[in-house]
Amino acid sequence: MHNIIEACNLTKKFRLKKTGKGLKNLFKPQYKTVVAVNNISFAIKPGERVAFIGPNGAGKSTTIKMLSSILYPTSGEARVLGMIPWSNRRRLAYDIGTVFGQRSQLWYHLPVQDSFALMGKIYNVPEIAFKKRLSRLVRLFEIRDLLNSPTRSLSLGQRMRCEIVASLIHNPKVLFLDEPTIGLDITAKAIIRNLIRQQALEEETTLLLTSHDTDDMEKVCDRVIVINKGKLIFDDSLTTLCDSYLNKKYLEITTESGEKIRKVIDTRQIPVKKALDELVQTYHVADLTVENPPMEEIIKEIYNRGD
Amino acid sequence: MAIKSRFRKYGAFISLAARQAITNKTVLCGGIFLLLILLLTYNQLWTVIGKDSADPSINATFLWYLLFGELIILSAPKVERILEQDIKSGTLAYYLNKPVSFFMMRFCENLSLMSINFVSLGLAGTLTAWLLTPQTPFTWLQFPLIVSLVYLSSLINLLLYTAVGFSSLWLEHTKTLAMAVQRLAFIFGGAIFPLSIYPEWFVDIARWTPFYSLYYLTIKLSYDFSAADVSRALGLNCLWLAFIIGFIIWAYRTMQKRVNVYGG
Repeated sequence: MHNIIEACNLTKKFRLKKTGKGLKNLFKPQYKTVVAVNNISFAIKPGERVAFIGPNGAGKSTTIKMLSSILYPTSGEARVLGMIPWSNRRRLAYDIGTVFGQRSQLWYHLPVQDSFALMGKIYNVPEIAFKKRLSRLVRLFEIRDLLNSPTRSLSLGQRMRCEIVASLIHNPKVLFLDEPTIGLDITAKAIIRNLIRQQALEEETTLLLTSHDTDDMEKVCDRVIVINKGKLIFDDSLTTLCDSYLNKKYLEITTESGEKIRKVIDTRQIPVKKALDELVQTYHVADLTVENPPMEEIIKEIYNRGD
Repeated sequence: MAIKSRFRKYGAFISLAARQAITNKTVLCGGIFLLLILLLTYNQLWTVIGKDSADPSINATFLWYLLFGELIILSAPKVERILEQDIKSGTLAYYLNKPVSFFMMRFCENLSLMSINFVSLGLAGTLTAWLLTPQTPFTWLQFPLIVSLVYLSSLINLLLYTAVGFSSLWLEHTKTLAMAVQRLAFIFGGAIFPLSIYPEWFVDIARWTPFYSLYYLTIKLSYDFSAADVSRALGLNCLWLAFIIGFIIWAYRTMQKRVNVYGG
């Protein structure tokens, strides 16, 4: 099977002006070069759901911007659907969809269905096909009640559902999602993850999702690429990552007296259920949370094993 | 097919922006309120001056002149602020992977807002001015042509502020430049008082600026209509229009190159 996305030695450097004082800096400014993405290579097959994860400033968004034709790389090559993204922007635009968690493509004061209609026209979707497509997405993302609401009145979770629908109107083959769950509460995150996964499975859309939340990759993706300081440090299946690095769970309980107790368990030695049962039997539990290790810890672990 | 598709795309931006403008009634009503206050205040002023003047029609002349001048100024949305925000926040970059031209998209939106403002301010202003001074300094046959030329001036004014917005590529803030352009329009364009009241040497300087034809030559037609002045205003405005569009195209291409390299 041919690759749908290919990146070969992709590098992006930014030249930033150094802040300084005095006239010298005004007439002869000093610059520093920041390597955002450093020589990364990978390939993605059609229908794959890939999580592109790493801490803040790792280079995830820069990579996704290069692949979605927003940025030119400093060096290296990339192909998306057989096209060089930055040289074939307009042609590629019809086959890809993008969702940037911190940017909205919906019109603030107008009902969301107006923004959807606009998307249909931007992407030249024929009227009948548009209606059919919208009806399907509305059902899938459960947004019928939101169609007549102006964007400004939506909650962040509702808005994100509508943002994803807007980016899927033209039925893209590849969907780039940059931090789609950023700022959402736990419930909204769970809903969004579930919907993204369901849509990708039903329509066989290739997904490339960036996040610094490990739960996003666990719930949505089947393959994981970890990037840190611009370098690719892990590229394998989710199962491999979970078996090798995600075998710790952080349990935190709050007792009825308000005391907080934290426990780290190794899931290879003790199943989560058993650990929870033990805690519930030992303490009077008022609240309980189970979390994956933070991204920084996983990366540290990957580096340690690499050494 | 390609042209039809473009019309459909950009037509959608025009219609959506119009709907958004109509939905946002506060801004629309605010503009009308401001224009009415100006007309009533200046009507009072020119009525008092007109009593001692040899020309009894001075009030009507200046009131209609003021109305057309204010139509050009007040119709323009704050396009320079929108563009500055787009450039500084990187919004522009996020439109690069959409099958639309960012410039055309923003232009269509603002053209739509401008047209809505023009029509609503024009209707309210014409009715008020007519009630205050029913003796118009023009004939109602000349009126559609004057309004069309004032609309063209509003369009050029919109593009002028678009150029100011694009200058945020080089300037830290465009607010100061926008303010300077507005003051120059008042001074060299005679947006409030006709240039005929200024000394000749001053008018000679004003002739070299876009504001002369954009405001004075165009709105002067409201009290001094002639075919020669119509063609002069039209010709000069088209010349400035071409110049401003040329600058915008150059600035937009420069901006695209920069975004390509540095991103959002």
